[in-house]
Amino acid sequence: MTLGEHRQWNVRSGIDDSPEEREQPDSGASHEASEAEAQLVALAREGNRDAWARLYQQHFDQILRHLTYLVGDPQLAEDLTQEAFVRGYKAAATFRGEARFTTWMSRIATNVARRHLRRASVRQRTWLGFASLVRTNPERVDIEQTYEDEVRTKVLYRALDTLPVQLREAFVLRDLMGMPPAEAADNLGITKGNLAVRAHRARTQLSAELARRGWGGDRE
Amino acid sequence: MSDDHLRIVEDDDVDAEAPRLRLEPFAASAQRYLDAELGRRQTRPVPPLRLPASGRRVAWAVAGVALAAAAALVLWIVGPTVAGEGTRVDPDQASRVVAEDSGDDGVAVPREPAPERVHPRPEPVDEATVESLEALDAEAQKLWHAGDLSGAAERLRRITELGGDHRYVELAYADLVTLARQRGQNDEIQTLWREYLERFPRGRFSRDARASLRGK
Repeated sequence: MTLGEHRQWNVRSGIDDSPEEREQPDSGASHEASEAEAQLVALAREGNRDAWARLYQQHFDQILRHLTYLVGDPQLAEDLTQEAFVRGYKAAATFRGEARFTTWMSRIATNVARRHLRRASVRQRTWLGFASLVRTNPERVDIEQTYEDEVRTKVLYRALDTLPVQLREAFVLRDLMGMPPAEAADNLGITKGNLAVRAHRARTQLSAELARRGWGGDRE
Repeated sequence: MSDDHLRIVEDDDVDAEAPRLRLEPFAASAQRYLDAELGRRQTRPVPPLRLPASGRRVAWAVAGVALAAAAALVLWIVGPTVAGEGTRVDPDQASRVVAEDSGDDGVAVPREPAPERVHPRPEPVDEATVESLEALDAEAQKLWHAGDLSGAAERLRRITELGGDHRYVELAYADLVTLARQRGQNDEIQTLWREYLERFPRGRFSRDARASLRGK
């Protein structure tokens, strides 16, 4: 299989880049896209770095989104996305192709996020710059929706930092990312029943934490 | 067990509804905010993937990195008497060997130039250095909690000098600012934020830094 000049790998580079021009498989070509991806994966499993770089380009956005939601910091998520793909590259030979490539990479991404979040000192400093923001009067809510969203997001992730990692993961995948229970359970390597329990506990603890910080209830 | 069964179990639990309702506005805000941030991110090219070098080159690369890191440490310890007045040790030199060592594999996609950058982007660091950064960070936190602010600051400073573009360096700057604030060193805060912005003009604390320097 010819992978072409490396310039083609950066399909999103250059001043003409825009989301609309980005390569997107349409429904009619989805079978061909799956076959092409399967070939890339097969090459990557044999240690072909070019193939892996191509897979990285194709799946970067999706894994970045997954990690952004888990850690709540888009810039940090970008670092972790790199780390996830490096780990995936090292483990490519173990990918048996029973699951979709995206599913497999998402699991690796979840593990990378989990490893990062378990370093308590890092979690406590995630929103260092915004600590003063959440300590101000929470009723001072700007009219602009975007500012309000930003404040609530940071308050939520600050509260998420107080949860055990496994509860955080369950809440993020189910309530923030809207992942179906089966997919979320598979991603976390637990049963659906276990996932439901963790998500419920996460909501209860989060709700209490937000109330403790003066957020939630009638303020909304 | 089907998903519907799980939903019924949760819906029947009246106590489960109250937390979910309280969290809904936060979840909705987080989805809007993060998706907007991700949408903005998608207008920029995917950064090149930095894969480890393969084969026999690894041994030479590791040896080269170890040697360069040792040299950097010696220069840091000896200080300006050797390196010259005002010269900062360049920790990037050590990591450059690994980052560029892709040989015939051709995977090293050239980095996209960032025209708005005035200073060259810091280079990544190798795994051995990352472990050193982790150890220094843990030490700094321990000293901080024990009340030894100077000791903590010294460890954090070492991280900024050895850590290249690793996220520990950004966190170290943020911690140094907090320490300076604790010690009432306002001038030091300004110096730190300027230094941070030179190295990470679009870093995760860049907005805080600019706001602080503008006096907000």
